Amino acid sequence: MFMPGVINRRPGHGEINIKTKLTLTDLIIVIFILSLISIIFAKTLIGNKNEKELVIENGHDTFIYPLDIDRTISIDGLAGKTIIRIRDNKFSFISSPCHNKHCIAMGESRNSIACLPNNVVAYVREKKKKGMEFIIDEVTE
Amino acid sequence: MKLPNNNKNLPFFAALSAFLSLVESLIILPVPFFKLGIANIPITIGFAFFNIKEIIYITVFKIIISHLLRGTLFGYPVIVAICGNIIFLAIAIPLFHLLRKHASFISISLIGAVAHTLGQIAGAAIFIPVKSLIYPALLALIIGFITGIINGVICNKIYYIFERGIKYESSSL
Repeated sequence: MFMPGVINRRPGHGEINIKTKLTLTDLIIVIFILSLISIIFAKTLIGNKNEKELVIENGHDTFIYPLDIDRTISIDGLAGKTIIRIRDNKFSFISSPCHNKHCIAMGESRNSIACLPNNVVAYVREKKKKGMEFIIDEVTE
Repeated sequence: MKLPNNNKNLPFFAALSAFLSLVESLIILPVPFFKLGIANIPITIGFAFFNIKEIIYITVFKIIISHLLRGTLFGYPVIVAICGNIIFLAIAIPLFHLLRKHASFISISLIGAVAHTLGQIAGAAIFIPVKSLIYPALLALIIGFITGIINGVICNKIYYIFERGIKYESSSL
């Protein structure tokens, strides 16, 4: 049988006092935990928003573009210009001077497409630098 | 394992905690794997009545019995549960003794729930890739926040009833 009266009379245990109503400390802790969770939530969502980028290599240069901004890119290859389109976090080769047009036939991709005759390779990777506020649209040697 | 017999109510709290753990596994939430945390109510209230060794007995009893009856005693859920409970006890017990004069069970339960969730996430990370855990972990933290506050309010009410019972028995002696 449960005997609540026994609880507090254990030798050496002493009086136990804890508040049984909401206190100011409770409110501070609730607000603190809530703001902590909100910060983690916001950071995770913002951090994952621009997570991936498209890397295009043509044998000489490497071009890096964010995958979440729609655009059309023209890249010079061995045989001529390759047109790559970024749309809805996917990319596709829409024009290429190559003979077989396998790269165009690949359609939209989230991984990688290579056009070997024109020596143009495009692949998606995770961004190395996180929290960058400017748009990466540069040529890295 | 020798059960401590210095408090008659220890088996009651242990059995209640195991029972509630089983009950909450039967409550289906819209999000899979998430629980209400009601099994931690007897443990949280127990902070006021038992010493650390006895609290660990209650927790171990709860884990073993509930997972034994659910058929997951030798599966990965036990590891996840152990991780959650270790972090929960490691943070909630010192915090209880630190804050008990200034705060109610709401604080203890809330911080305990968040700690428990973080421990479970750490345990789950052993089996599941961390990247796939990010969004469930966020959801678990939000659910833990809500259930932590609700469980804290329940703890306050139950402890208030206990306190009245103790005062009544003391005055009638």
